Amino acid sequence: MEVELLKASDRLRGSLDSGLTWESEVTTIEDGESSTRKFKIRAAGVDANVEALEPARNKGEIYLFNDRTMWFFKPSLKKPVAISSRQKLSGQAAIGDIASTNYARDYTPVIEKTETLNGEKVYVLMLQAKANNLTYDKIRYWISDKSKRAIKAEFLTLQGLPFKKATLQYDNQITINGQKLDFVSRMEIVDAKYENNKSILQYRNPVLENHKKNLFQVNQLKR
Amino acid sequence: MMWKMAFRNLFRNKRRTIATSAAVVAGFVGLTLLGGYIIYVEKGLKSHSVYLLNKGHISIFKKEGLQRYHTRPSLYQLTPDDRQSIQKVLVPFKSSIEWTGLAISGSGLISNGEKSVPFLAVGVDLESLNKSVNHPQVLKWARDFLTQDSLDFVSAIQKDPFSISITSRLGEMIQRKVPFKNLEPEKKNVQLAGMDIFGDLNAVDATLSVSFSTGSDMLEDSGLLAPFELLQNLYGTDGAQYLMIYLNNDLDVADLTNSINQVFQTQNLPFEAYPFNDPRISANYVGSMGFLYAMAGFFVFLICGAVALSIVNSLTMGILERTREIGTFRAIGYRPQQLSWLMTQESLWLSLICAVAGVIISFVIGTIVNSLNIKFSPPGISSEVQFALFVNFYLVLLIAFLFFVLIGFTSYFVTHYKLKMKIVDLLSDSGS
Repeated sequence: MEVELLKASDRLRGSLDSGLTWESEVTTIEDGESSTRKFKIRAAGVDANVEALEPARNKGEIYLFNDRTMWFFKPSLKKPVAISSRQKLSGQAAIGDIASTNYARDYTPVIEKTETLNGEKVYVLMLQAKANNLTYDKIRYWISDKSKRAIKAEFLTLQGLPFKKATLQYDNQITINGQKLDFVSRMEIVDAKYENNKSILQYRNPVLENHKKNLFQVNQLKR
Repeated sequence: MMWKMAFRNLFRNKRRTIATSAAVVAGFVGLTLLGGYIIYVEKGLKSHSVYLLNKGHISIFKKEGLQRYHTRPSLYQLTPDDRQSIQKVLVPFKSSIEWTGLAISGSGLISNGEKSVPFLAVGVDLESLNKSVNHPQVLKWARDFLTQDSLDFVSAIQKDPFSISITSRLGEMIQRKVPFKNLEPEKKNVQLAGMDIFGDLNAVDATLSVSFSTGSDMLEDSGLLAPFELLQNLYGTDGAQYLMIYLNNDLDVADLTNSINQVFQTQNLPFEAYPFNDPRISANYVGSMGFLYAMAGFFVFLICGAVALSIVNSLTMGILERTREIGTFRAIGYRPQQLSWLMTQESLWLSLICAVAGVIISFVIGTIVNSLNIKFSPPGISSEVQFALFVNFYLVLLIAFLFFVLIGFTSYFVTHYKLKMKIVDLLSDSGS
């Protein structure tokens, strides 16, 4: 049941076998300084191609996700750089957070308890990393029983203490086979210790789209 | 007259004089060789830290930048304006400064196109790099840490500004074996990735040119040396982490650091200067020397204790043997202080003879050991280093002075205490 619950919630964050495209605006506020980055994300199954749109200095940079491997490329490089999931961790919103949607694949879920949140019954899941090269070792994850939406998450240290907390909103919609599905519209990730340090991920214009296979092939990135 | 008599007295009991001399010479040689080894290590580590690890004799950071640069590089870097302000402050100290340089350090990933592994990089301006590896102090004291590749790195950068030098172990981790100059151009091309000062991932192309050694076993898996501009490019900045000052004379370090810091304070400039021997700048140098000084202190205590006890023993035996003679001297008018001084003079003669013998033996042993070129791997050091002894004039003089003072005082106090007996008791002593 836990796995099905997690799969259903992953779908609402972009984990679909069919191709999907959306834009993400990431605003990071750290020690009073704010910066905004924009990305175009094209995902299909376990692959994702994240293209930096803004700021201008980052335009053209590409993060390619092949299953759990991430590649970074920019036009001035001769070869792309392989970056493991663990190395993705940086800032409030790790690069991995922008496109990592497949928690059911990466984590083993266990229902810890049920709670009532805003009048809704929610399952509190403890997600344990299946491999030791994932961005997070453990995640505590709140999923609505009715809507299957992930409502909030706590990213835990090896000692089980939260070091980042996230809340999610679902104001977007996508249509699959004539059926309308909620789609994540905002994810706010806050530093558990310094709450003024946070990242806000806004998801815009999600559309179903068939992507060419070579979009996700690392060989295509070489100069 | 007294000195002559004291010298002749040394030959009255030759066996005891030889035994005492042997103990004193052994102590003298032991201390001289230990001191020679410590001087050699100190000079080697200092040259390594100042020149090869690019710390400079004095390094200047933005205020609190030493602690916080890596968490907030944009806030704690030295901008071009900052560097200009610092150079103005340094103008009055120009005569003491050999040259100044710039450095930047950071972490990231080095990639061969298939695999990435973490690195810890230091970027140094070409002029500093060139002057450092060719500096007479390095060539004299830190040759063990210097390879032909280190010398070749400067010319490699002059040919290709994207050249980098990495440790051979880091090379193996990305399937690149030394010598890197033999690799095909395709294999020489690697990518460096890191977080820029805006917090974004960035990457640059680089060319593997030569290998180097960090000198520290702990850093040998991740060491990377790069041109200053290449790391600036990687970290997306025109700033530097710190400015290095190389001095003409390293005896001026503490005074000059204080003077520069005073100017920063009086002019309300947000910079801080640190000497190379600050543990936060050169932990390896300070830690190693701290250990050696503590060990030396322990040995000095033991050797001086053994020498003092030998003198006490020798003099006590001498006084016991010569009690009636001392009584006779006292009876004809010699005061106890004069007799104490006579016996102290005997010990000082002994010290002088032992010092001369000790100096000769120390120089002979030092020369033999140095010519044998004995290599060993100290714990925590990545390369083999020579076991060498630097026995110099000042060291010998210092230890000779220490022995003269130690033996002189020990002798005077022992004899002064022992010669307080009444004349009649001295003359009637049976010698038993």
